[in-house]
Amino acid sequence: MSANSMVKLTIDGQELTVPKGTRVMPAADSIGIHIPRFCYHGSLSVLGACRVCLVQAFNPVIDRATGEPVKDDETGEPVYREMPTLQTSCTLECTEGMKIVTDSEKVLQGRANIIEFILANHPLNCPICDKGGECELQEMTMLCGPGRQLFTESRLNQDKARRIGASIVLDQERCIVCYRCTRFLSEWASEQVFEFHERGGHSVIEPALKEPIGKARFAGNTIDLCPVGALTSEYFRFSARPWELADTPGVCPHCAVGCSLTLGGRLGTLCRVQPRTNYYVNDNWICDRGRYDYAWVQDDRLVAPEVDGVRVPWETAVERTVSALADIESIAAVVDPATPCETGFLLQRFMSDGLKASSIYVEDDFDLAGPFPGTIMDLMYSDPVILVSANILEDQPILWLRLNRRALEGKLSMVAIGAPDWAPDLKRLATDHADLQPGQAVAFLNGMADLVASADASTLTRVSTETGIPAEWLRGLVERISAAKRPALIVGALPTGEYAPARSALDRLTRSLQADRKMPVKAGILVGGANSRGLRLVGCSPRADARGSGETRPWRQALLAGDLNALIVVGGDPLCDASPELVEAVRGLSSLVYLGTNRNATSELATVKLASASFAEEPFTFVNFEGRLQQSIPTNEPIECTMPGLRVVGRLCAALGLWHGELTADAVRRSMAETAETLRPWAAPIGEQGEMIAS
Amino acid sequence: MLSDELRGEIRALLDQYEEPRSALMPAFWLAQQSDGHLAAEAISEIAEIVGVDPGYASGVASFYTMYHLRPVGRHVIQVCKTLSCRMAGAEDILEHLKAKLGINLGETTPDGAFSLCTSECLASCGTAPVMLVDDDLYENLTPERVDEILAQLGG
Ligand code: SF4
Ligand code: SF4
Ligand code: FES
Ligand code: FES
Repeated sequence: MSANSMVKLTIDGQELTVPKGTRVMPAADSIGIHIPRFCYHGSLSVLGACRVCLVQAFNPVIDRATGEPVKDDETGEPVYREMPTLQTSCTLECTEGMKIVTDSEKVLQGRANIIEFILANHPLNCPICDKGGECELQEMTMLCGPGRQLFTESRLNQDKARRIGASIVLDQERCIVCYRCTRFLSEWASEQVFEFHERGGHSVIEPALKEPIGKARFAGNTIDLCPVGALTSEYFRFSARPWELADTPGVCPHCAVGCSLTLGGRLGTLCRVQPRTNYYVNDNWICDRGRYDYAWVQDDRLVAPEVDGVRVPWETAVERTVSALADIESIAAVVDPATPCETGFLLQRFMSDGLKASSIYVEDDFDLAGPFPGTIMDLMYSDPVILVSANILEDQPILWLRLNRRALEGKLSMVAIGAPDWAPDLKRLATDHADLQPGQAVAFLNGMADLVASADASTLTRVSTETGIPAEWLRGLVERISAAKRPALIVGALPTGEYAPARSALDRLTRSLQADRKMPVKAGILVGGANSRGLRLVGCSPRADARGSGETRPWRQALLAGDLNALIVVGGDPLCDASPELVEAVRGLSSLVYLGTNRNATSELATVKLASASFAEEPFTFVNFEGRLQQSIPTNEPIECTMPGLRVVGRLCAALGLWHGELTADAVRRSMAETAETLRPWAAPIGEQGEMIAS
Repeated sequence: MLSDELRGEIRALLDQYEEPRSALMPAFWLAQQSDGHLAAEAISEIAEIVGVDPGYASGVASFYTMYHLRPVGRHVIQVCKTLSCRMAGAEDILEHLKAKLGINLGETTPDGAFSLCTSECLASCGTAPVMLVDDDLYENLTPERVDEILAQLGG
C-alpha cells in the first residue's frame, strides 16, 4: 500500500499506522486496546447506535495558508485541538496525526453516563436472565457503569419470553436497540425474520409478517450477536449457566463446509453449539442446522455394545465381531461421510489387512465427482459464481451465506441454473437465474464450453434448444463470463451416470475459461458430507469388487445380487428406507456389524452393535471440501459404555494383530503420518483455523 | 382494499426512486390522505406493490408519528410537548384541551370530530406554545385562543 493511503495516529500514547478509512475502534483493537462496545461488530456495517464507545479525539491544528501543522512557539511541538464532544470510536475515521484517548476521567464519565441511560429501561434482573455470566451489558455495568441510578421513573414494561423466530425467544425489556440482530439478517442472511418497529425508547422487535415464524436458515446467529439477554435460544435457555459449560473447539458434522464450532457440554449433556470464529471458513456464523441439530447426541443413543440384542462387555463385542468376520469372504463396509479420519484410517487397515476380499463404500458421490478445486476464499473473490444444480443454500449453507454477503456488497453475482421447480429460494435470492430443462446439466456445461469458445448464432440456438434456456440469456451469461477476471462454477449432485460426462465437460470449460486469465478459474463438482474428502485421503474408497473381479459396484447392488456375506456399517442409517428385498438380503447375511451412535433402522437389523461416542464426545479430525484439516476436541466424556470410534476400530485391529500399543487420537495420528506422505499433516499441530493439506 | 386509482398512483411513484422501497413513505402518505389513516391492510398492500416484506413496511410506518395507524377524527390536534413549549405552558393547553374535548391523549371525541395527541418540537419555539391541527400551525396559544380555534373548526 502506498504511503499516502496510510495514516499515522496515536491511541493512548501508542503510535500506529493504519489504512485510510479505518475507524478508531478496530485500530485500537489491532494494538490490543479494548474500547467498550455494544452495537459495533467487526462483521457488520458501522452504525453508531449505542454510544458507549466514546473517546476523546484531538486533531493537529493546520495552518490554512500553508497547509502545515501549527507548531507551538515555545516548544516547537504541534498544537492540537480537541473535537468538541466525546466521539464514538466505532464511527470515527482515523486521520493523520490524530490523538485518541480512551481512558481519561472525561471518557470514563461519558461512558458511565451512557450506561446509565441504557439501563434506564433495563430490567437489571441478571440473576434470572439467561445471558447472565456472558452478558456484555452486565460486564460493562460492573466495569464502567455509574453504580447508581438517578432515574426514579418506572421502567417500560414490554413483552417477555416471546417466540419470534425459529427457536428464538425475545425478551423485549432487555433489548438495548443495538441493531446487531437486524443488521445481520439484512446484511448477510437476506432473511428478515424480524424487524424493528416504533422508535427511540419504544423501539420493539416484531416478527416479519409474510414468512411463517420458524422458517429460517441463519437467524440463530442473532442469538450470539445479541450483547444482552434479549434474544435467547429456545433450546439452551435456562439449561445451564455459561460458566458451567466446558467449551471446546469443535467442527460441524453436518456438511462439507466444516464450520468451526464451540461445543458447550455440561455433565455429559451437549447443551449448545455455537460458531467459533474462523475467517477462512465460517466467519462468525453457523447455519441453523449446525446450531440446533444435535438432539440426537442425547436421544435414542446406543449406550453399550450389544450382540444379538443383548448387552455385552466390550471384550465380548470385539471378540464376536472379529470371529464373525475373520474367515468370511466378501465383506463390505458402508461408511457415513461424517466419519472421522482416524476411524476411517483404522477401518481401512482392518478391512484391507485383516479381512478377506473386502471393500469400503462411503455413502456419497465423491468418488464419482472428485474434489472441488477451490476454497471458500477463492469463491468469495470470484465473480460471477455460477451454480449449476448446486443448491448451496441448502447443502452448504455457510458457503452460500458468505457468497451472499459479497453479493450484497456488490462484489460478486450469483447465478443459479437448475430445473424449473428446483431450489426456489436459491433462485429468488440469486442475482440472476435461469430454468434448465431437467436432466440437461451436462448439456449446459458442454454448451457453455462451446459458447465460451465461440458464441455464434448457430451455437447459441443449439445450446438454447438443448437446455431450454433462452438464447439471449445465454449470450448475456457468456458475455459476463468472458469479461470477468475470475469466474467460478459450482456443479451440484447429479444422477450417477452423469458425473463422468459432466467432468469431461467441466475440464473443457475450465480450459477455455482459463485461457489467458492469470488467476486460476475454479470450476468443479461440489458433493459429499463433512469428511468425504478426509476419508478418501485416509484410504476409504471402494477397491476391488467384493468378488475380486476388479470392478466396483454400489454395495446395494452387490448385496441384492447375493455377492456379500457380511456388512459393516459405520455411522448413519443407510438402511432407513431400504426396500423389502434389501432388508431380506440383509437378513440373509452372516452378520451385520453396526458402529454408530444411535438406534435406527440399520442398528435394529445389526447382529452386533458397537456403541460409539458422538462428535461431542470424541477427539477427531475432518477434512472439509476445500482440503482443510480441522480438529475437534470433545466437550464431554463418551456417555455410559460408549467408546470413540477410533478406539472401537482400533480394538478390532488389535485383535487381529494390526495395532499395538495405546489407542489415543494422537497415537493413531502418528501412525497415519508414518503410513503415507499425504498423511504427514496429522502428526503436526493443527491450528485453530485448520490447515490446508490438499488442493 | 386500496382503490385501483390509488394503486396506480403508487405504482407510478416507483419510477421516481432508484430503490423501490424509497417509495414506501410517499405511498403511505397517499393512502393516509385517502382513508384518513393508514390501516394495517393498506400497509400490507403497499408492501406488496413496492416489493418489500409487510413486516418491514409496518416497521417503517410505525417509526414516523405522522402516520396514523388507527382511525382518527376529522381533525387531528398535535400539541407540542418539547422544552420551549412546555416552559411556555403547553401542559396547561393540553389539560384545557382534554377537559374541553372530554378525551385523553390518543383518543377521539365520540362525534368523530377531534383526535388529540402530542408531538415533539414543531420548530416554532419562538411562538410557543404551539399546536398543529391537521396541516395548520397555531401559535402563541392560550386557553381562550384554543376555544376560538375549536369553535372555528366547528367539530
Ligand atoms: S435484540 Fe439484542 S441484538 Fe437485537 S437490537 Fe436488541 S440488544 Fe441488539
Ligand atoms: S454450513 Fe455446514 S458445516 Fe456450517 S454449520 Fe451449517 S451444516 Fe454445519
Ligand atoms: S459501539 Fe460505537 S456507538 Fe455502539
Ligand atoms: S418546543 Fe414546541 S415548537 Fe419547539
